[in-house]
Amino acid sequence: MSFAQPSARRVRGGRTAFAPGSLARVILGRVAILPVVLLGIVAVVFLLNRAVPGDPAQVYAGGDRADPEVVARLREQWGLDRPLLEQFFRYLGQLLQGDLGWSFSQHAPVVDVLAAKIPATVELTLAALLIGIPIGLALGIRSARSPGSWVDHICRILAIGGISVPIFWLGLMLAYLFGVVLGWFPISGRMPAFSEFQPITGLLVLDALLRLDFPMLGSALWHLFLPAVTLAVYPAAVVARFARSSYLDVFSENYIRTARAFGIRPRVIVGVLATKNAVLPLINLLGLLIPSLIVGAVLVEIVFSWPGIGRFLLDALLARDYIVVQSVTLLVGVLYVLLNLTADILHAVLDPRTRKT
Amino acid sequence: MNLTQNDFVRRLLTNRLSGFGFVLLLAIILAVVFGPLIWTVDPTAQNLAERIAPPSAAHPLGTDSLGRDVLSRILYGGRTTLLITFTAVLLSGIIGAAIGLIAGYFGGAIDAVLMRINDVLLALPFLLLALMISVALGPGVVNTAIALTIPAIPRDARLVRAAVLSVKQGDYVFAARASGVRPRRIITHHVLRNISSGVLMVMSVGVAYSLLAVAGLGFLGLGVQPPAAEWGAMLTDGRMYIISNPVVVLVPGLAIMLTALAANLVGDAFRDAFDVSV
Repeated sequence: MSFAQPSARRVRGGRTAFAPGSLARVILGRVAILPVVLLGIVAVVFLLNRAVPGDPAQVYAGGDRADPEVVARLREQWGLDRPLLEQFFRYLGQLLQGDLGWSFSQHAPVVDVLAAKIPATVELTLAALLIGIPIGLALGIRSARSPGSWVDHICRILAIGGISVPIFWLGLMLAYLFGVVLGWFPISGRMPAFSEFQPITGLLVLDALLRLDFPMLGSALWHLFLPAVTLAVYPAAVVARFARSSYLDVFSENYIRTARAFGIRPRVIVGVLATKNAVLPLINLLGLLIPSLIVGAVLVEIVFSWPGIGRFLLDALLARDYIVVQSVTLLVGVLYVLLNLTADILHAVLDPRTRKT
Repeated sequence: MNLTQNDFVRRLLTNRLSGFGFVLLLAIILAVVFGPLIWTVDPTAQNLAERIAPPSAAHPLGTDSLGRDVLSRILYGGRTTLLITFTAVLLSGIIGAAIGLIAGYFGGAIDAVLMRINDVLLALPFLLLALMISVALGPGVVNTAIALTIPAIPRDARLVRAAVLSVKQGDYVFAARASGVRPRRIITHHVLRNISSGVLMVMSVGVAYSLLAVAGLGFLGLGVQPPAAEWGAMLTDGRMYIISNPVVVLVPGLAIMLTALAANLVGDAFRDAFDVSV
């Protein structure tokens, strides 16, 4: 949205540190409000979950046909009969001990189930970023170098097409074309069925490298290709649009004009002089982009039967296993806050101007 | 912000790309509004003998898994999809504008409290929030519209607040306040009138996003339920048959993409026209 793809100006203007002075004060100030924001996220997620009609105890005990006595016992056991505030603090205490709750649809602690599913999603998201960011940067810079030209128009149309395409549809079409018609790539899963490969980190590409298992590496990359390309379209398009406006701003500045007048090679001007300033706001953009990319990964995972949190999340939603949904929402929210904090601090480190005002 | 009405319209139309966006969006809206009056095939009429049929004279876009006419379902589905999208965008725009106005105009503690709540809500991705609300409320047109309205409110509120803050600095607002005009009148006569194009921009930028989210919910089976047609749900329906007839997946996807593309072009045009003056 406009948060995933803000204009260069908005990010640069809006993200000013509130305390004037030293870097340390800026960082301290940002870290100090972190617990408050995190508490807020926990509260919102908790309340959203409680606002859901339908009692989890009722659902667990068998829906409408459930024995009222069993439901009452479950409610007591899970503490659902306590006041809301007490429930909230209990949940908070649980979280602090690293306990996200019990998933009744998976018959396992949510932490364990998520830990098993997250690496696949992380791998997919990282791959999409690694493909998407360079392509987006290249398109955006090319556009900004000759605004108004036909190359610029083509790059802009590609970028606007990239944010307009429904990724689940794009995934289906790519799977059909390259998987079914041409048969070049597998269209489901992460590795061959019945593989006895033992993962280490859960990121298969990395694990294959660590074990020096090159056939596995090839297979993992081969399976990763289509889902990653599908997911990469959105970040590529967002980065392209952003880079275009960011570089256009920088190209019009005096120091670039001076450099041109001095006859410095265009490659140096674009690649070094302009990039130093133009890429800064991109750091903040990534902080906003990554969480929405993870949600996009949910859709891509469903299309390609990728065994990450996507399919799991949808099944949990349909089974009304809200504790899972609540946990995923919480994780993504916390990730968002931490990424933005990191981006702000990085920005303050790299660009002293943002510390002043 | 000092643009006159004419400048604004002229700037919107001089760009060829945004002109194309306007025409395309208008054409799509006209097609789904008046199309079903011309192509009068019943979108829910099943014909199991003719399932997943390729395009023919009787069915220009073929038939779906239950032998229903795809063209007719695209037209009717477009009504549903666009109705939900525009309702959600309009509602979140209005509610967000109200919150942004209050926070931006009064400032102080009200602003601080509203914006902190806003920050927290913004940390939760749009689609994830929409998913949660959609599952909580259950399927259906109204519930899907609500599920897409709520996650957009904090975003709209923040953008409108920024616009209000810049308008508030205007001399005419100071003058009005100094001459004892009541806040309500200042808000309606001075602030609201001057941020209206900003609110319009906020909404136009949100259209494509909400449209893709409507289709996404439909694709996940959470939005509008069959036999009613909806573009995202049509994709899911066709997914199983993509090998025998890719048209059933191609067409609804293209419809979503072209509409989102048109909406994005229009949104960009509004944003460009607006950005110059801020």
